Amino acid sequence: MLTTWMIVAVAGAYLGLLFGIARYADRRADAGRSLVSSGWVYALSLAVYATSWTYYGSVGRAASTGVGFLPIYLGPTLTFAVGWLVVRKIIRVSRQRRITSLADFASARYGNSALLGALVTLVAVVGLVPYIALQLKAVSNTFSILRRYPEITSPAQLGHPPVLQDTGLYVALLLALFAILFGTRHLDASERHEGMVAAVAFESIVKLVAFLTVGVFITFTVFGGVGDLFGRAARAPATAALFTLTPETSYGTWMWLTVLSMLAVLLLPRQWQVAVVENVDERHVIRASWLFPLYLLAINVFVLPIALAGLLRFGRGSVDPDTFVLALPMAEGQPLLALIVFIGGLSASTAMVIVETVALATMVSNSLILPGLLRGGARYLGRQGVGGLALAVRRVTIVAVVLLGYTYFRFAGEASLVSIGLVSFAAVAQFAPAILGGLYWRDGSRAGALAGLVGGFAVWVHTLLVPDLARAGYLPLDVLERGPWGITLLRPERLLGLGGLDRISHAMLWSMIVNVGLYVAVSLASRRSPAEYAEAAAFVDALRQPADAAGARLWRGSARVADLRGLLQRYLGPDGAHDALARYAGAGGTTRLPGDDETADDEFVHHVETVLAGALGTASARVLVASVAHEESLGVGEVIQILDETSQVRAYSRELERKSAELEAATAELRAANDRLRELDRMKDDFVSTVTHELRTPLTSIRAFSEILLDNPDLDAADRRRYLEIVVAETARLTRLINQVLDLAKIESGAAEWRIGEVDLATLVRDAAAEARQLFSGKGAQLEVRVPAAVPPVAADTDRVMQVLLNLLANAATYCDPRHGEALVEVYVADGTARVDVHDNGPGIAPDQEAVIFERFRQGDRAAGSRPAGTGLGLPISREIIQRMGGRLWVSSAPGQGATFSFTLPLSGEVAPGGRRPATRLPRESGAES
Amino acid sequence: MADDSRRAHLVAAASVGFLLFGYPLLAVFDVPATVLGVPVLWAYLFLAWAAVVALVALAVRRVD
Repeated sequence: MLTTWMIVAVAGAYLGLLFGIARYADRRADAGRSLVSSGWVYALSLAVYATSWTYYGSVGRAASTGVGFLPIYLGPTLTFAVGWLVVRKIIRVSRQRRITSLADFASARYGNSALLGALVTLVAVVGLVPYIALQLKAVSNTFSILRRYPEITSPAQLGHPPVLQDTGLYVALLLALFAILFGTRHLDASERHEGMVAAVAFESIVKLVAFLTVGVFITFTVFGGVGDLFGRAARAPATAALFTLTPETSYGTWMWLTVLSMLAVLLLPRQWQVAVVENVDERHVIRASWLFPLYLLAINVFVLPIALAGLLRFGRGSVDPDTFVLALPMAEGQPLLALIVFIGGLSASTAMVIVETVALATMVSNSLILPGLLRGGARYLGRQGVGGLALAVRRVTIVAVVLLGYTYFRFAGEASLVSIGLVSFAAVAQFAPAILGGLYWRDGSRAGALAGLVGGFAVWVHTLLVPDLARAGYLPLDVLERGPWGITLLRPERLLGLGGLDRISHAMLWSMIVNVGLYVAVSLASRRSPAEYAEAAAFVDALRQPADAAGARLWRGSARVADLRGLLQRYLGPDGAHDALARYAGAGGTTRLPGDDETADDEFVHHVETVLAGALGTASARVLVASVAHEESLGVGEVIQILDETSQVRAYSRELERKSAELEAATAELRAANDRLRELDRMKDDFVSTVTHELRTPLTSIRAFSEILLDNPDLDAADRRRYLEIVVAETARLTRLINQVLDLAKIESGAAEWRIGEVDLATLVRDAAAEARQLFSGKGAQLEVRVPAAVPPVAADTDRVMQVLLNLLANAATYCDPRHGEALVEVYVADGTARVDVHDNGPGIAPDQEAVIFERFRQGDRAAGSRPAGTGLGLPISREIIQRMGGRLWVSSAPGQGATFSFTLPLSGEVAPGGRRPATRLPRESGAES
Repeated sequence: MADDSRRAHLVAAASVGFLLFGYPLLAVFDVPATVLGVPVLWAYLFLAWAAVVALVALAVRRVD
């Protein structure tokens, strides 16, 4: 059974484990082997978003609104869908500036405004104390319920245990200790807290596993599976009503909650801390942009089933739905499972409290206390500089915030977990115009941001905080009913009489109107300081600069190196100063460290300021550097000019890049053209030498036989006749060769005349066959013609097609089987083209010869051994002709199977895919295709 | 170049999410009925959610 001591021991062991993990991760980090440098750990640490509100409160909300709890998790999915654009930009800027918190970011964006940073900090603290209280309340309540096992108590009956016996207090103090140990290790707050992140990622796993375990148990063990659970819920009217959203939640509320959570997942200080400050590598955002939403999906799957199961098991009223997750295993007599649930809830609460307090502590020390102290002058500061002081402030803040949260929990009314959380969400949503606007809108100004934030926060106080205070009895209830000072238009929950909205939508609507309205209006109306111009440009253009680029250097003045060095020593201590200077010099001593009596250059001044910003906040860093530098104040005009110059330089360099890319492309093109020309030249030479060679062969034999005739006048008639026949045949061949060379040259140069008209292919094929029949019968071969009854006319030149047909037929006659020669001409029509096949039963063509035979003066090896039968130009000319007419000529063959030469021609009225080739092609191309 | 296309893909995925998670598509599935034994709205929301997560995962995959 569960005894109180057992629960305490297990919880203690769990927290001990957390300390152990954090310590191990910090050790690993110190040794340079980071445990947290992975997209997985980054996504898991983002899941600090799921607090005990998610763990216990979602079920409570689902028990009254069905899926009405979901927008809180859908919003982050949408935000992280564009995380690669938005979150990465924030990370990039923060890294460049060593920005360490949300408040610091706001302050840096608007010209290092200390006032804005302080204001953001105040809003965050006021808005988040209730949220921290919520976590402590969840721990305290669940502990009290669990220790009364097997009895199930509702939190309303619990009352408050005496302070010194309240687990909430001890957990709060333990968490403060954890936050101090692992969240304030370095003075430089831009350094990561790897131990803390590792512990938080671990807690994310624990709470997910615990919640899924109890969800599976309830759905599949207590009930007979999802179908059984929903089936039973459908039969009970109270639970069946939860199957739909309306009428409990309106679509307007749904939308506002989605927007609210989209903003909160970025702007809650703890989310900012894990997403931006603790980010190791901005590429981790890639994995987180789907893994983190997937985590949220997983942890929400069983929320509605558990809520329905709780209602079916306990009915309404006897058990607080916020504790269903714990009460169900208890009611089922499963103490071990109940303990697992408790540990899961503990992990959800503790992770949130730890990260939130660390984030708030950085904000309070660097944006609220230190700027105030520095402004007050050095008299507050001891000889040790502010280093120790800053850390002390952070540690005190952590304890103070945790105790504030605890106090709030003890004294505030009994609101449900979700409603408290939503009030905090609405508070941090007030940062959205200043932060997100500042990231994308160049003209957003300091005055605008201040006005928007003050206005929005005032509306938040009036519409959400005042009603809570009034209901808790700290303000007269009259304020709610009749409005402050009796002005009904100002009633907090019906501002200007606007009703029909739930309180969160109402508050969000009005605060966003006021906040965004003031931000835009005042920004447009106000004059901005030079520093603001500079920062605005740097923030908006952050992603266009390389990740390691320093911020815009808009500083003109002189400072002595000795003074700056003194500044570093004073505020960071001797070791810190030494490290900072070493970092400036670079790992390999790439940059020369200036001597003490020199005047520092801009880069050095900027480095000192950035280092100080990491430790003390950007606003303080600015003040400190200004205190030792004789700064020339830059006018707005000058700043704009510098910015213009920078952007011009950037534009020029982009232009230059484009030009050089173009130049490279042009060079490559020229080189290719040159290569082609060379090739063409070579081909021309080859052509000329081949032609001469081919001409010489018949000439030689003509000359030889002529000389025989000349030298032997008394040759007998038969021989004389035979020799003369040879001379005539060779002369004919010579003529044909010359004609074909001329023909080819004419076609290729584009000088050939084309009389494209409608050609009746059927008739043409029959005519060609009739003409060629002589060739076949001379060899004793058969020629068969197969032409369909109706062939649509093709667009071609009749004489040229005839030339091709005769060529192919002559080819077939030449190469068909010498004894049983057969050839076949066929015509088909398909796909807008007509096709003619000329098949012979000769020896066929080897695959490697198929391309060769279309080259000039190459006849393929199938006639090897015999005297060349043709001129070697017939096929190249045929192919050229067919291509000119928009068709294709090819051969398909296998040795021993005969060869089939085919060509296509576009039907009249259709243009073949390649279209008709222009008449001015270079001769080379026809060669390339063969 | 690659970054622009990635940006467009991600913005498109987010827009699909905004459409699926909001009125009026939400209202279409907001009916007191069950499909395969589970409430229509519950099933729709989780399927749409999973689809958006998958879309984003596909879109960022192009990053590496």
